[in-house]
Amino acid sequence: MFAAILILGVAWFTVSALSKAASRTAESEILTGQALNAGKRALLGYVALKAADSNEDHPGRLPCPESLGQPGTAAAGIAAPVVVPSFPTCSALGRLPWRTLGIDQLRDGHGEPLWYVVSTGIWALVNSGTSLTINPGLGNQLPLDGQPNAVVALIIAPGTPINSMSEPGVPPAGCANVNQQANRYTVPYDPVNFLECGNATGSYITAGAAPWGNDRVIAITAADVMGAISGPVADRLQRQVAPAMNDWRTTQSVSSWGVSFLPYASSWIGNPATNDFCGDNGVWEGLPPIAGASNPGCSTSWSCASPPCVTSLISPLLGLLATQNCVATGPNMQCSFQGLMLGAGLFSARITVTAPQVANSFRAPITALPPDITVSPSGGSSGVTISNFSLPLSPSTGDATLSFDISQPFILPGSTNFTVTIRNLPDAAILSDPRITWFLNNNWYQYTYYAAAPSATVNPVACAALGDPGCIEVHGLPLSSIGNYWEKRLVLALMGPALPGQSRACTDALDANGLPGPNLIPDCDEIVNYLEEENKSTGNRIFRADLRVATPPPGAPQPYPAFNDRLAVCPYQLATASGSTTICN
Amino acid sequence: MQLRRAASGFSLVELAVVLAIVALLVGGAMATLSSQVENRNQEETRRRLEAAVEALIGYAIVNRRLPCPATATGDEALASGTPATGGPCTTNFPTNSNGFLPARTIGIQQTDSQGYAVDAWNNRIRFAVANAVTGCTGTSTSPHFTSQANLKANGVSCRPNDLVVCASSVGINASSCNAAPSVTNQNTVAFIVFSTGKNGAIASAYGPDETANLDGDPVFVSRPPSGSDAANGAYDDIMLWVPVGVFYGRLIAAGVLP
Repeated sequence: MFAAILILGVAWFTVSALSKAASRTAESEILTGQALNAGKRALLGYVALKAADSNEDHPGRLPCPESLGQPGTAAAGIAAPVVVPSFPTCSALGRLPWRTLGIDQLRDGHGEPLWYVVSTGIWALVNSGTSLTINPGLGNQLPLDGQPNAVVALIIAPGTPINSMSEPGVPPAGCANVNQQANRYTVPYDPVNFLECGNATGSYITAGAAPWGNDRVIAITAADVMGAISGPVADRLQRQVAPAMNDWRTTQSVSSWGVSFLPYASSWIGNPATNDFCGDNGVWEGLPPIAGASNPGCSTSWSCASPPCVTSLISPLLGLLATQNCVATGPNMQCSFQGLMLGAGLFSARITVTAPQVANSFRAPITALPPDITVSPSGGSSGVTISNFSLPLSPSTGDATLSFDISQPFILPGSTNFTVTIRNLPDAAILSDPRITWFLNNNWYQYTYYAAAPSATVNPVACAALGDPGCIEVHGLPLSSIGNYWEKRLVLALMGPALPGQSRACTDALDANGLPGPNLIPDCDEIVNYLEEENKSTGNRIFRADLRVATPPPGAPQPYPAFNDRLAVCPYQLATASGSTTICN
Repeated sequence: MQLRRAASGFSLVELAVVLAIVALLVGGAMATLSSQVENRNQEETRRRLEAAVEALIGYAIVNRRLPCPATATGDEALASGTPATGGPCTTNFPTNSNGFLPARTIGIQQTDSQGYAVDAWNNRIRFAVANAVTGCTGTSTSPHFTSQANLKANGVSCRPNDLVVCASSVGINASSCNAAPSVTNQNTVAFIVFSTGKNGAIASAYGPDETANLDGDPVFVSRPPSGSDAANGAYDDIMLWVPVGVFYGRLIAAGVLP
């Protein structure tokens, strides 16, 4: 009897102990999973918040890890480059910078703080001298589970310290015999005392296999980051880029060219990533015409469109204009000509040159003064004047025509050589406006559709009523007191990631309907693979801003894409508790 | 002659030994049980706080703003004359007598008879929400988080500019951690939900760090628990806070912002 009770007691104790151990293990795994997910949410939240910051030059930039020497110091939990003013090098691996993320320190199910790996130099700044180009085209850079370029960052739960030095057998590939118990917490930390099987050495794995590893990993991909920052980037389009372009329309274009206008769009031809971003005359929708003057594909350089470009204003009795030649020389146009004077007196000539595509671009005018225009009379000394300077913009062609007179009051009989150097039109101030620097430097224009209302271009078309050819309609915005929904002047539509049914491959052999056929129009060339609903037409001047799941129209190809475009528009106004605020007028 | 039978049973000594052993066993069990109950209460409180955070974010997604802390009832306490679309709160930061989780407004269970959400010790859960903002691209009208219109108009570039969590009350002032080590940056925390712990109903038992959490200013203290004999007194508050990036992220994902 006693023996039976004893056996039952031992059995109960054993089962109970095993059950508790299993329960503890499961609980640890759950806690680890919760910590990893909380870390990922906090990381993406931090990245989104930074992306919305008007001073952030690289929206989407990931923070650096805490440096290995920071644990236990007052700087614990702070991303490395933030700690020291001298901006030390950001290393790829360290503990999660929880304080920078604004959270409490997260620990895995074994009480160990989380670690963090980031792709430095590509998704995180290495030091103050590095620059990044982050946009939806930037891919994953770090390997995971043997797959290259799988993630952009990882958060790792290190688990309990492992001592596998006396384990029988050979560690699997990538793993090693380690003793993490000996000097685990000696600062600076050595990652191999926490992470195993490649997680400390750059060959990352999701879950370490006992007894060689016990890490647990959660991945952060480029798509995760882009999903987190698309809203903030759209917000910056609305609050920075659109107002900057609107300021060009209301102020800069008027002071520069005497006419208020938005430049025409760059035609949607081919892959938007390889567009020349040079506006095309009369095109209202397409890609932003942000190409600078130095872009050879978007020349606004002076040319002699209607030779001769130098005409004589000399009295035939006094002299005549001899040889002339106007050629482009680097950033200038240089006109050389010779005055043959029959008698002493006034020499005068008119120069007329043309710059194309000025109404399709953001360009500033030049003045009659050096260094914009310089004159070098080889035989003369001084007294050369420039007069009758004019630089009008043609509404019909969008070209700018420069005309001015060169005069020298007194020249002795004989020949005099003149060289006039005319600087090409420089970029307008908007192209270096701090509000759009991030947009240009990170190539977000490759992912932004641009539409200027015909009524707001250099050759305006009337927009007096709904449906007029000069109007742009934008549906789904809050009501505004600064214009109707059909009186929008500017639309910037941020393209979301490809939705089901959309393909952006340039080598796809399917046609526009996803059917096998001749690849006459590669998918990457078609706007329907980038924008949705009303926004996916390049010519109807009708847009939709609200986020909603589309109802497939009858006969639409399946699966029908949902909607992930985000619009910035002008004019745009929002209600506040005390009235309204105009984001863009 | 009949011999007297030997007395059966336990002697007093034996009984004393047995009772002593039983007392030791029961005492040990009680101590373990008490510790387990305490752990369970802490876990349950943490779970309720996490549920409260989710409920607050859910409320923000539906109503496009955060609620105000509750004062006299379980409903949020908007300042007089404020419309249902939100605006200034009666109070943003808890004191002994107000600054509770607006349980009825956000639909939380586990409330007391007066409609306040409570922790596992039946003490009312506290709630603080940021009022001022900074860094906005455009307008920065306060209150930002509790006004539907301002949250939308100010936008997601705005960062809170008052709530902050410090590691100690030693050295803090009414607006910042000052000389105390900080746990969060001052431009990080959108809202805080916390329990005053087991000693929440006994204000006289509060340590200085706990007192700092109910002094009506936006500076809070979160640190590991300690008894009253610790350097800075008792501390058993359990605190969760939500970084503004996480808050915005949830609203952006829901299509509420920007």
